[in-house]
Amino acid sequence: MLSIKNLHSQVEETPILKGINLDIKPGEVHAIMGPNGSGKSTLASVLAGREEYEVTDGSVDFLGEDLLELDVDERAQNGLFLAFQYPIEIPGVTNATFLRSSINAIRKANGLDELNGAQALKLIREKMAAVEMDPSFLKRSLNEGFSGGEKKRNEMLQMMLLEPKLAILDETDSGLDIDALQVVAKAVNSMRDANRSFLVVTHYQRLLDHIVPDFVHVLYQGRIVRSGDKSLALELEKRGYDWIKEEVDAQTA
Amino acid sequence: METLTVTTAAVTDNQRWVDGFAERPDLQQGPAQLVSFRQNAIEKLAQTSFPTRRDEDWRYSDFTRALNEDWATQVAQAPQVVRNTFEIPDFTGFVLVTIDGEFQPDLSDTIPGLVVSTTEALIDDATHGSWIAERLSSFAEDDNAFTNLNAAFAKTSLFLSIGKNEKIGKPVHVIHLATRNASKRFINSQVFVRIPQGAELTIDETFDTLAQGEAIFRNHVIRGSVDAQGRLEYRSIQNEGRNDYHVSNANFDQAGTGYIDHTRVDLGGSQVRNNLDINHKGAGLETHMAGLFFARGRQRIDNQTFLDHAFPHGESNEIYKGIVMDNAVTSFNGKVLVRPDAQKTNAYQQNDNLIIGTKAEANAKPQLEIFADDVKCSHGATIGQMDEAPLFYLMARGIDRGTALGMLQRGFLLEVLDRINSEAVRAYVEHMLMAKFNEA
Repeated sequence: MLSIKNLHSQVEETPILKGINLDIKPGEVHAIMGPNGSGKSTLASVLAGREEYEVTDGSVDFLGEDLLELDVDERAQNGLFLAFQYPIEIPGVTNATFLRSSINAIRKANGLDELNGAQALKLIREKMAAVEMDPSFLKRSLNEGFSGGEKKRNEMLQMMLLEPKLAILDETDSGLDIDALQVVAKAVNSMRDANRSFLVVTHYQRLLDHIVPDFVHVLYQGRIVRSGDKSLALELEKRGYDWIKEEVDAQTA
Repeated sequence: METLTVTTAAVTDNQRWVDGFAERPDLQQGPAQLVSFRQNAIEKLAQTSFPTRRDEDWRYSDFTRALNEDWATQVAQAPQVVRNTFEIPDFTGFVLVTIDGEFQPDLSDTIPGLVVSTTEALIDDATHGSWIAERLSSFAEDDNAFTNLNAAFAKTSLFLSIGKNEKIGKPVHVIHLATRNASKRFINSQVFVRIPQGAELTIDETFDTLAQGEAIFRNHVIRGSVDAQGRLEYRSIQNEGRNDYHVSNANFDQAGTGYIDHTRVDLGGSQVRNNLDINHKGAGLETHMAGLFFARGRQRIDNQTFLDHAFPHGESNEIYKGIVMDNAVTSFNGKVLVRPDAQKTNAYQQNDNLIIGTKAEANAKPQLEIFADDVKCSHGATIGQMDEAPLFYLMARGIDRGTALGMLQRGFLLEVLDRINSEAVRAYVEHMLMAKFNEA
């Protein structure tokens, strides 16, 4: 599904990712954890194609294609989805228009017929119920004035509508109360299947109680310094990140 | 960043218009009063300079070069007109047509309840003659050379009115056509709108061109009055050719308790200048002014509005929004005067500009002059760049860059689009906007 090799990335001359290696196979759920500033969100942004992040070395293969050669929209059309840590507010574009445009852009790119207004609306309403969003959010401008929880529900709604092959959740749990967290977990769990993979970026173990990962990786100073199964997340919860930092710092000193 | 080029002694040769006037015997014919107004206007024009960049109010609109080109003013032989080509799809109202400024009864609907006539037919009319004469004399004496020019050359101009306390219930679409031909043509068009007490009228004005050929310079004037409890909804939509010039002078007298709602849309033209003046003549009235403009390529679009609050309890609401990209230049200059007597005035003005690219230029000059102390007035002007973040967000959902940009641009203009109270007109404007967004 996704194969990252020796990925280096910098923003404004400051190196952030310093050699990431990661393989995600179909159906797997990987969690990326790590202290603040370790490069977690950068990794998510580089994969989605954010321009400020310059890739200086390494390669990323996504479903047999060179991901780094693709434009942002093409990555999404090929089945990559990024749930934003901070979803953007866009005044003047209604949620309904946005969702329908997005669904149809991806359908069209994949050779499917576009949905008409009624078909799209039916589908959107169905998925809105699953993420416990009121239909009144359709008429509102995209994310404008939404609370933190509402924005994250909207991200999950988009994920469910676009049915990506790989979904990257960038700290989707940050700032969420337990109810919203459950909604996020429910959305992800309902979509888990043998052909779909997830990369869950999170600072805390809390989300991983609800979305149980197959693999947990710890990112520190731009590298994956430790990988394990879900028990690694529990250990981090108990002991914090300092012991890992110390181990790594001792090795590199 | 703004650069100001001061051209030395830019002079427009007005003698050519005087000579051109002399070569038009048709302008010397017709009702004596009209002929004399035209004569006065051409004499006034002979002594009046066209504005240049040195005039503060015309800093961003210099038509000197355009005016010095060779323009024909003769009425052209209009080709066969297929009216529905120029109609607004799904528009449920009446249609009137002018060609090269002259009203065309044969191409126009008969509208029960509406006085649809011409200045020529009504100048000596008992009911409307003095009203028309008052307007014609006022703008022939104006210090604006464009209105003098218009007053000298306009013929068979459209006049609209309605009975006291009456309404026709449907909007009126006025299609202004200009005929292109082998020579560059200068069109002076006029419209007069008289809304008596308690009457209501909605007018949608569009500008279009006929046939193929050289550029058109349209010099348009609309003058109107709205009496007590009268309501005028007036939209003006300009999407002329990219080599054409357009100058519009709109001027309305608004009586106390009257209501005016105006929306102006500018998408076309090489160089466009709109003057909108609304003069408050009584207490307790309400004025809405909205504008939408989108300039690209080398277009220049300049809006100048003037609202004169002279009486108490007036309410005005003005919003102009524009997008400027490529090498285009736009400007908005909105003057709101609140005179000492205009207590309890609520005046709100906003102008927002979105710049795309590094070479486009937007200029904003809100001018509020408040001489009354018990008023609520606010104004704001913004000039901003298109953010990358929303664009990235939309593209990250599979939407291509062009479509995403179009969605964001439309979103930026939505506040003005929402002001268009007609589904058909709004869809018509949106359709033209989308086509322009999608131009390579």
